[in-house]
Amino acid sequence: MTTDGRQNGDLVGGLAKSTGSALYATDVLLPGMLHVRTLRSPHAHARIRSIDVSAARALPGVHDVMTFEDVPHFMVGENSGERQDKAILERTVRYVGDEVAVVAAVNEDVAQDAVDLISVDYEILPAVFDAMAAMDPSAPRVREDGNIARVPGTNIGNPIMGTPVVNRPVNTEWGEFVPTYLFEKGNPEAGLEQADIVLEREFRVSPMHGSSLEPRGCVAAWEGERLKVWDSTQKPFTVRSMLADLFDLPETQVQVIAEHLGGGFGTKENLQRYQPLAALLARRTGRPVKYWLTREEELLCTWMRYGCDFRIKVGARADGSLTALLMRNIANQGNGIYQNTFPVRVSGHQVMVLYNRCANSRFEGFCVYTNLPSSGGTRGFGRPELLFAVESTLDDLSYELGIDPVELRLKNTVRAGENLGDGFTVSSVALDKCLEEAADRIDWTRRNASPGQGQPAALKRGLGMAVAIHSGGNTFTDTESQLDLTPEGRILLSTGIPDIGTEQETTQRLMASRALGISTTFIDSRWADTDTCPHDFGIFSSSSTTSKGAATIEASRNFRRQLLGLAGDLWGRDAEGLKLRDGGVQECDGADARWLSFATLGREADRRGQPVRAIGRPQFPPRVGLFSFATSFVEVEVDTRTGTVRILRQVTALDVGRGINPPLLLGQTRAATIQGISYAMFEGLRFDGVERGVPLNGGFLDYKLPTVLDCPDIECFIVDSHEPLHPFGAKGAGELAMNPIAPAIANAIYNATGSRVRATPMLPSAVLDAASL
Amino acid sequence: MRLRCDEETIMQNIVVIHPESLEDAVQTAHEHGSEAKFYAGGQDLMYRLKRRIASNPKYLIHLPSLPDLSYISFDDVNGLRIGPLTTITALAQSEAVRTHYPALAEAAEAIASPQIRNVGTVAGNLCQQVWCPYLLEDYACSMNGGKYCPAAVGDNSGYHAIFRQKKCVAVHPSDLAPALLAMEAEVTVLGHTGKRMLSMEDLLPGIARVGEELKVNGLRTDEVLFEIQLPPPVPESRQTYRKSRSRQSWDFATVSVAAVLQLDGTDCTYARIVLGGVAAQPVRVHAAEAFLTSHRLDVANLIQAADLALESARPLALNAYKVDLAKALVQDTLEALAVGE
Repeated sequence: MTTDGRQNGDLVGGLAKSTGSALYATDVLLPGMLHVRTLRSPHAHARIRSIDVSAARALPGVHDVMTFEDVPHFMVGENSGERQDKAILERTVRYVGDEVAVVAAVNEDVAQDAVDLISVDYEILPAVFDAMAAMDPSAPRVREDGNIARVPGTNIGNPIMGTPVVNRPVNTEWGEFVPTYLFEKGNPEAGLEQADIVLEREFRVSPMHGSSLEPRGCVAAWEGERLKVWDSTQKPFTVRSMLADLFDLPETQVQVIAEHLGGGFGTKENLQRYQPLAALLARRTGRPVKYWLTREEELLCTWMRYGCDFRIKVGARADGSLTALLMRNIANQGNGIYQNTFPVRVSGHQVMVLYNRCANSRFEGFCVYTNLPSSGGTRGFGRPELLFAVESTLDDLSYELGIDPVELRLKNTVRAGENLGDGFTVSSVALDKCLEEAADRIDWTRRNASPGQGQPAALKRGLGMAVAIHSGGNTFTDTESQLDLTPEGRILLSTGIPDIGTEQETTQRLMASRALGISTTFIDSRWADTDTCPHDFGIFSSSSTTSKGAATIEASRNFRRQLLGLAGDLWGRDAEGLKLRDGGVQECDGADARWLSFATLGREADRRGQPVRAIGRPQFPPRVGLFSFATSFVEVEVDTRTGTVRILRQVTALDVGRGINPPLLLGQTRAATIQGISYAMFEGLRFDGVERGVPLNGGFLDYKLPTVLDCPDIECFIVDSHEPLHPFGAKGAGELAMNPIAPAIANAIYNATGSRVRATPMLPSAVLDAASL
Repeated sequence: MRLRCDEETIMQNIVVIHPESLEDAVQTAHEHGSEAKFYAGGQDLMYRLKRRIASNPKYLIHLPSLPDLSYISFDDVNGLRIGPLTTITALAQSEAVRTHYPALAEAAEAIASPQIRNVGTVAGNLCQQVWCPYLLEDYACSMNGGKYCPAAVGDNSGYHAIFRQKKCVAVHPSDLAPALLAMEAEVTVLGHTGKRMLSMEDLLPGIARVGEELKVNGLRTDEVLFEIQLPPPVPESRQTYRKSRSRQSWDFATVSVAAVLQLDGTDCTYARIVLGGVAAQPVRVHAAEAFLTSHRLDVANLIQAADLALESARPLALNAYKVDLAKALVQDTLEALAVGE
């Protein structure tokens, strides 16, 4: 057993995945199972006057049709613990693709034929697609309470960190409004007064989709009064509790299984409409029901990363120290909140943490309803969006001041132990090491001292960099891990987290084996089944290695004590001086050094009726923040005739504490980097924003993800750091590398050409536009 | 929004006809008129059928089961003959094509993805439909029963024309067509009344609406491509096909260029340059050709030739970048040919 990942070949899900026996929810086939197809709104905003499903019902093979008239009033949208916005089905449809009716039939084809037989009389309502346009008080109202989302309770007080939060209107070009989120520290206006230089910049980022390989869906089946759901979800326990609520059942009467997911990227959190619809159809028809989204539905009828309009204002002294940082985000929320508005909140808040040394800062986050698909959390969770704007502005600032962009970051970014206000602190920071080592690797001295200068050729090269922050895995405590000794002598590790594709079970088992002091070969894993696993919060927010891992380590230490105690009891001696070794308990002190196998201990525990079982919960001290940091350095070559950008080199350094399983960690980092490149240069959902709100690239043929031919070699590495809050010194890493990529590329383009690209995706047209400004 | 993807339903409603011969196929097509469509590789057709773009046909006339429609033959006197059902992969890998018509092989290799090239055919590539998101999303555009072109005033940043077009601003997506036009290819088509020869210009005359049908090629409803013929390569000439796209595989051309140059030292004695992805048909740029054959091939002149190639371009609101892209591509292509890369 080592900590350097030499056991990484020992993947918990490896054999099952490579042989095809791993159970994905879509693999579930049950006798008599019905299939669902959906009638979706062709209008961006309309009220259903009447709906006639008689012909659909009459079609042979159709078992049920449901409209808003047939479903209980139950909110599936969730924000800050409060349900809002989205009911299971509604009379008003708010975007092209909104659910109008669902059909359950013997197969998808019959269901689709039935969908085509439904006739709907719509009263078409005025619609608005652009978030800035929707800010205007005279704009069509997407939701009754106005177009600026209100988040109950979270704009006052600050449960995560010490940044002061205020609840008051701010001035905008459309009037005075209370933002969805308003964070303020110090006196930003006074900070601008103190500045030697003030820059103001605007940016726009396009909405993007997580693009999981596997679209969403579930199979729901009732066994009497018990509901069983195989779901492609990141949060099986949340789905369980909400479905139990819907059917007014005790939670133990609902079982949710989510062993393997074909990706998630944060977009498979929380309840969505398909799960309650499938469960209701199954209840009404008395048959198992499978409801799976098509690729087009997955892209357009779930949620996207926010499209945002940013305004950034920064003040600095001549020496580069920031005196004021003002950020405004007008984020396109789409038609309603599915998951929550946290990405906007967390991004604003954490950038204030990242630049905590700036005494005066403000973040105004407006989550604005429009008649587009919903927006929510997607890998990076708000931070790639805001950091694109902030890191681009700071790059401009560094050149305006004639200060090395790296120096500017070193001077202004947060240090370990620094006060964040209200006595909150940051636990560990090694961003300085990241900056120094990454700059060294790419040879930062090669950058153009003056952007775009001294390169007469059409192909210009340049270097750029950006820094990033991410939740370091959080200090969640709402999770448990459990270890059992089976009568056969196997150690069974139960966690509730689904395998989203990151082999988190392998990492959990590695941590258990290390805490126990035995090889992983004695440990079996069981996960993501609400019937057999202890409670868990789900797999999200890069939190599994840290928060979940702390639970697993705690459970393992407890389990080890119990095992040693049982062996000591059998030998009639104290557990002191015993250790786990070679699949059993070993005496270290006696001359004859006795040994008992786990099988013997398992049988004994079983005989006694006193199972060896340990449950661990993570514990973290209050008022300490756990954050990961990263920097990315990029070298590009820009064809200034065409705006085409080629990435020549890409180096990312991570401050993620100790790597538990570096090969898996770096694999995920490479993938996050590629997704970051894709965000920066390829992806952007486009809609007809004038007429109908129809998607113009709503399929993988037109929504262009990069191919392997488009990806450069990704260099990434972990710097030496240790996180004291985690028993093994680790911090979260799954999303982090996504966050600095887009601004690093934009800054490299600037260094190469002297042209600032202010929008994503940075397509050739955008690069040319920037050059002509 | 078209959010469905269920082949089976569609197949239930469509009769697949297996003809005895190509003559039988066109006779059948003639009998069913616009209710029938030919199926070659299915790579363009099936996607449109699944998404129910335009009205689905009642009959599919299945050509792959017919013998002897897939071949490539070459001789020095008559040049190259390509059977209509030859796959793109076969074309790209053909030794004769790679040796004598390398630009055609390059164009074939640049098409879509390996999977699509393995199944897609030469005839299908030439006869495919245009790719405008408004048309695909069933807007009532001027080609679909409406009065105006939403792409002309809306999002025209993608597969839209940079040369002036009336009614519809979509571009022809074929990679093979510009290369074939640059090589002076001709096609023989077969209809129920017999064969006729078409130039590439006649085969791809632009986009028009004829009755309920959107016409993107010069074939009559009952006609199929019978054979593609290329004259022997211009002696001592060099040729290449270059494609600019938003990603390096599985993508249509944003712009492309096919060029054939015959060089005598630094003089150009023959030039044929064709742009793809810029209009409803491949665009031969005569002005640039004439300029090249009357000027020395130095860098300044190549740049001027590239400028001339795009001289008459009139981009739409969001695709001016394609003019720059095309200019640079023409310049780079000509430079590469001039130095013999």
